[in-house]
Order: sequence, then C-alpha cells, then structure tokens
Amino acid sequence: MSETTKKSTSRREFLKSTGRIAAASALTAGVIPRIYAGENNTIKVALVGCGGRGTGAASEALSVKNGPTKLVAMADVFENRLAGSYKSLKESHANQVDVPEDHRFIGFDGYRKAMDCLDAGDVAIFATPPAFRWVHFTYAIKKGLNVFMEKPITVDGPSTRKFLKLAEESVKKNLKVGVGLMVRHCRGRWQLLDRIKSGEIGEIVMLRGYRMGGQAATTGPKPDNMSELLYQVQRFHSFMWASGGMYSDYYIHQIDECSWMKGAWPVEAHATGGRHYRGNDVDQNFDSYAVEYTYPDGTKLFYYGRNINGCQGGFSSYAHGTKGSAVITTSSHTPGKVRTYKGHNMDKANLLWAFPQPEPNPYQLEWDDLIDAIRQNKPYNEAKRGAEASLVSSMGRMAAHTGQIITYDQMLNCEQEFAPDVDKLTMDSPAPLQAGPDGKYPVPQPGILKQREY
Amino acid sequence: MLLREQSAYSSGKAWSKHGLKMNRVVKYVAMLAISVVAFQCSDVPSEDRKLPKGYTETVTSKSGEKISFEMVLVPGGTFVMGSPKDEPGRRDDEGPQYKVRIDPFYLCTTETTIEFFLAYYEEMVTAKRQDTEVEQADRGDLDAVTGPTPVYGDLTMGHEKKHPAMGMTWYNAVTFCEWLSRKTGRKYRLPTEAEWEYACRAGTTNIFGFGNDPNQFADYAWYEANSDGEPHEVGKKKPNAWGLYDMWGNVREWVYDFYSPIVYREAAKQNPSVNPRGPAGGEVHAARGGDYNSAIKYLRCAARDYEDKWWRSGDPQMPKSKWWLPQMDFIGFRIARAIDPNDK
Repeated sequence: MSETTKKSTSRREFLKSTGRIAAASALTAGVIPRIYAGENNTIKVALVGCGGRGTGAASEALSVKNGPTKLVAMADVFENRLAGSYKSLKESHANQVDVPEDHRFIGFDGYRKAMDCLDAGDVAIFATPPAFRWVHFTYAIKKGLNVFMEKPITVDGPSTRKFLKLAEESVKKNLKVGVGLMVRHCRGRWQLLDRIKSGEIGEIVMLRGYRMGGQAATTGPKPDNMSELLYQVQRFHSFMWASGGMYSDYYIHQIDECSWMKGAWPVEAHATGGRHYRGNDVDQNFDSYAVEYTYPDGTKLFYYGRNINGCQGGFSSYAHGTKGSAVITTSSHTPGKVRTYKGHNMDKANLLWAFPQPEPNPYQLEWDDLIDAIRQNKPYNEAKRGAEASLVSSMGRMAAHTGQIITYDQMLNCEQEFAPDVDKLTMDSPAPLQAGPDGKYPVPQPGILKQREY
Repeated sequence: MLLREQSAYSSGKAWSKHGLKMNRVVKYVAMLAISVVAFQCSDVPSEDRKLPKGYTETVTSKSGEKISFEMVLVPGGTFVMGSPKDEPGRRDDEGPQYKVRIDPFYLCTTETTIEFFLAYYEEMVTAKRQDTEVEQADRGDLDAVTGPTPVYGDLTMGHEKKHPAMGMTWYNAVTFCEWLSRKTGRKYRLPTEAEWEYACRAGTTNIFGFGNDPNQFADYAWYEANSDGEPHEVGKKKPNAWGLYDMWGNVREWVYDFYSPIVYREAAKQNPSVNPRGPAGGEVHAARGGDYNSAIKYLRCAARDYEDKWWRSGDPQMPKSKWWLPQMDFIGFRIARAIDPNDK
C-alpha cells in the first residue's frame, strides 16, 4: 500500500509541477502514445453498461475541459437502458454524441463491438455489473484502449488474481486506467492526507467507518417476463457473483479511503453480520455487518454497515491519532468536508483545520485527471489499486459471511469463484446462481459454510 | 387547461405537480395564467371569519411515534412584494415592487424536521431496488409512483431528528404534502413565493422583517456568521412577529412557484395581485430564506433563490433523481395550508 500512496503523491506532485518535463522523464516503455494535437485531437469514448452510473460517467467524460471528447459507441444487455441513456446524453451533450444505430450494441458480446469502434488511445467506460470487468478489461488491453471502470472491479479471490495480472499488462502497455473510487481525486482528501502524514493528528491508532441507512440492495422474486440471467444482471447488488453484493458495492469507498489515510491495506478481517425482516426478498445480502479490519501494525479499522429502516443512520468515516482526530468523510462521498481536531472530541473548540467549502466535485475530477494523463502521457493506472481495494472489501464480506477470520492471503487465494464462466454468457445462458428446490437462492451460513460464502 | 388549473387552485386540491406537466405541454400560457389567477378573490373577505390562531397537529408514524407540529394563522392582508431599488444587496429579480393581496392561511412555525420527513419516507418509500426510477421510466409510469425511491446513503446526513429535513427535490417535498394531506384529512401544501415573503415580513416593511439592523441576525438565524457551516435544530432562535422560526438561514425553503426572474413585471400589472402563484410552467422552482451558509444579503425578506444546476451535482447517476438532491444539506421546506371553507 505504501506504493499506492506514493503513486498518489507523485501524481499530485505532477499536477503541482508544470507537468511536461516530469511527465516526459516518467514515460514508461510500451505503446507509443498517441499524439493528441493538431486537428484530430478528439478522444473517442465507448460506453459499456448504460445504466444510471454509466450514463453519468459518460456525461462527465463529455464534460472535461481539457480537450475534445466524443461518444461514438454504446453497449448494454438491455435495449431500453441503452435507448434511455442515449436519449439523456443526446439531450445534454448533443454535439458530442455521435452514436449511429449501428454503433449501439445489445448483448453480452456488445462490449467487443463497442470497443471495435475505438482506436488505440481512446477511452472505454466499463459500468456494467463488476462481474464483467476482467472480461472487458482483457479486450481493452488487447486493443490498446485507455479505460475508466466503475468500482468494485473484482468480486472474489479468483477474479482478483486475474485482474492483478491484467493490471500489470496494462501498465506495461502504458494504458491509462481510472477506477471509480472518486474520493481518491477529492482535493480536500489530498490535503488531509498531507496533514496526516505531516503528523497533525499524530500516528493513526484507529479508524472508524459507518454506512447505515434504510433498506437497500434487496430484491423480490423474478418477474415472469424476464430471463433469470437478465434478472440477476439487473439486480446486481443482490447477487454475489454479479457485484460482490451490497458489501462490496457500498462499503468499498470508505474501506478504501480509510486505508489510503492509513497508508496500508488491512491484512485480516474479523466480522459479524446477519439478516432480518426478509419478507419476499430473495437476495444474498446480509442487512447488517460489523467488521474489524487489522492493519500490518496491529491498528484497527472498525466498519459498520446496516440497511434497516428506522435505525440510526450514518455515512461517515474518521481517523484517530495519538494527538488528534480527523473527519475523512462527513456524510456520503462528496462534499467530504474533511477536517482535523485536537484530541478526540470533535467539537468546534478543538478544530485544527477544515478544507474550505464549497469543494470541487470528485466525479468530474476523476475524469479531468484521467483525460489530462492521457493527453500529457503521464503515468496513470489505478487498476492494481482498484483490485486491491476490491479484494479487501471481499475479505471483510467473507469474514462476515463465513464467521471466520479471513486474511488478505486467504482471500487472494480463495478458490470460490462465483461465476467462472462469466466471459461465455449469452442471452440464453442459465444464470450463474441457481435457486434451490425451495425456489430460494443460497445465502451465507456463518459457522456452517466456512470456506465458501454460499 | 387554464380553467382546470384554476379550479384545482380554488378547491385547494392538487397544489400539485401539474405545473410540471403543464411546463411540457403549454409553456406559453405562463403569462396569461398570472393575469387570470389574479382575479381569484373570494367573495367574503376571509379575514372577517373567526379562525383559530393556530393549532397543533399530531401524526403517528408507521413505527408508532407521535410527531407534532404547530401551524399558525397568517392573517390575510395586503403587502408590497419585492425590494426597492436602493435596498443594499438587492438583485434585479426582486423588482419591480408590486402590491399583493394574500388570503389568510396557515403556516408551520418551523421547517419540516428530519423525524417528520422520515415518518413519510419510511411509510412511502416505494421499493427496495436502487434502480427503481429507471425501471419506472422504462415502463413510462413514473407519475404513478406515490412515494420516493430509496435515498442514496443516509437521509439524515448525520444530523439529529429535530434538524430540518434536507436534500429532497421540490417534487419530493410536494409529495410529502400530499402524503400529509391524506394522513390528516387537511390539505397541506407548500406556501407560494408571495405567501412566504408576506409571512417573513410579518406585517413590517423593513429589510429583514425584524428591522434593518443586520447585527440582530445572531438572535434570529443560523447563517454564515454563526452556523459553523452546518444546519441546526429548528426553532432554537427567536421567531418573527408572527411566531415563525428560522425564516432566515438554516435551510432554504422550497415554495410552490416556478422561478422566473421576470415574473414580478407581469404580476405588477395587477393592482393588487391576489394570491399570485407564479408562472404556470418553468424549469426550476424557487426556494426562499437563505441557508446556514448565507451572507446577510441573502437573508433579506425579498431575496429570491432557485434550484441551481449544481444542486444535482452530488447525484452521480443520469438521468438525475426525481426525488433526491444527494448531500445538498441546505435545502428543505416548510408546510402551509389554505383555509378550508369548513374551518371555524
């Protein structure tokens, strides 16, 4: 993780410096960078996964101020999603959306066709359920494409192992890869990290995170007019194979930001969790999780997640040091409203520093940074870091789902692959998760299933 | 269509989202509507009727909690809306000043609280799926939905239950009023922009409603100078002369009207304009009163504001949510209620 931190720091230094000289000296061997100058300096974009977030990401890609971008291809497995996404983007960015009908692809192989509309050095956006990341990334690397991918990017041990190899390949090919952990691009958090490193709150001895709100990520039985596969793809938060479940999808941001501030990935997790008030819901999630993550120096991150209506809410994270404390997230991801305090009573009298408001939107910043790196040919690859963040998320989830302590190495080498053949899916394939004889999907059984999550 | 809108207005029914549909269908009636609505006075001056000066309403949440709120009678009357050209901090959309007649109505003494909004949310949240809105849109039946989709993250944004509810769209606030009306049998709605300003002025003609001295704001409002950058529990500062708390600062308050920078010019053609309710269509709605981060000039009774594009910037999805303005902790609302003919 120290490597990760270094990487972020160096990127920050790049931005501070005038850029060109530093960037040139850091140029890695590999693909010769495309020159984005002269008349044809438009970066083409393909959107793979046209849901709300994918459409939002495409909109941000078309909103960058550092040179022209154009959307040229779209892919999804749902025709109506693609149509709705196209309509929204056409309305908001008419002149930058050039996606004729024969560049709109429906089906599990649509990603190839969409990326075939790009040239090396253009950008593919991956915003399908995370299960498909490694499949799509494999093809992007082959084509020499830069990528922006939504988080999480892996869902289990085997998909992480695959991804780490792909990440290495993509670095060798000098591809620029952004991962949608946008908090990493928040300028307030950058300053907070500098302050923590400079010792403003002393050595970090504990971190806390909360993601508590009403019921979420549950799903009722499959409607009759839809295949089981498409049903599971559409309700991806509900199924481990598709998304890593609510745990991975929701909690990854704060687990990542806390570990970033700590300067390390946790080495093991010990957790509890359970399900209540299920009604007709058939998803695989727990609705409450409490996780103790341990860092290499023995310090802990305590993470609490709950999705039950009527209970205390919370969406924040904190660092506690030997001299003081810090707010890493005040509520949700943005604005972070980061600040530091003397001691551990976070009240006004003890306030040391607060990042001034309003703060820039990190969803846009992550795109500005990616496009800047592409145009200036700066080293920029978040794939490894994204896979590691996904892995430690899986580690906490598995600890809760099995009732066992799970180490980083155990998680990485875990043999359960939720959907090994996800690259071979077609519209007619059976769903990767099959219901039992009682019509219900398998759920975790802590203490009974110790090596597998279901 | 104008007639239908009008009758809906008279009966108090559907101070609803019709305007949004109207917006799509008949934008051109906007100006006409203002002049027609202006004739809408009741035959018997409502001021003459003896009405309760206020009342307390209690609702019971799904989980059995009792939540009470107080409504005060805002007496009917005539006032001058907008600000004079020489008022410090004035913007052009506050003029020209024009005379407005307002029928009596009830207005809540406080901004709608988190606990109150949560009672609505937990009863009305439509589904568990995150992508509900897209699915509804796919089916083309978004309008059939009667309650909000699940909020992204934590609806309280880390605040306590007596803090103002925040981060809901105008549409969500209006849906709250519809829910409350069904629950209580009384027709609650958002105040109009004119009603709001009239209530803020509370019979005065000065800049802030309690005088012209901004140094007094520390007693009346959570704002830039004293809020520590966050909203506060409702009702902790002094109320205005009509018993209304936090009309300045804390959270901005949605009002019924669409925002138009030139609406006063049209309305000023009436003398007085009676119960104006703004343009019949528009892009965004007005929000009044400034927030915890506002400087003095935005706390003036006449100061106007409206939904800005960046209020949607916390929502990483596209299309943006119909229900939520994620992390926008400065926008809330206060409920109003027209006098019912059966009220005594």
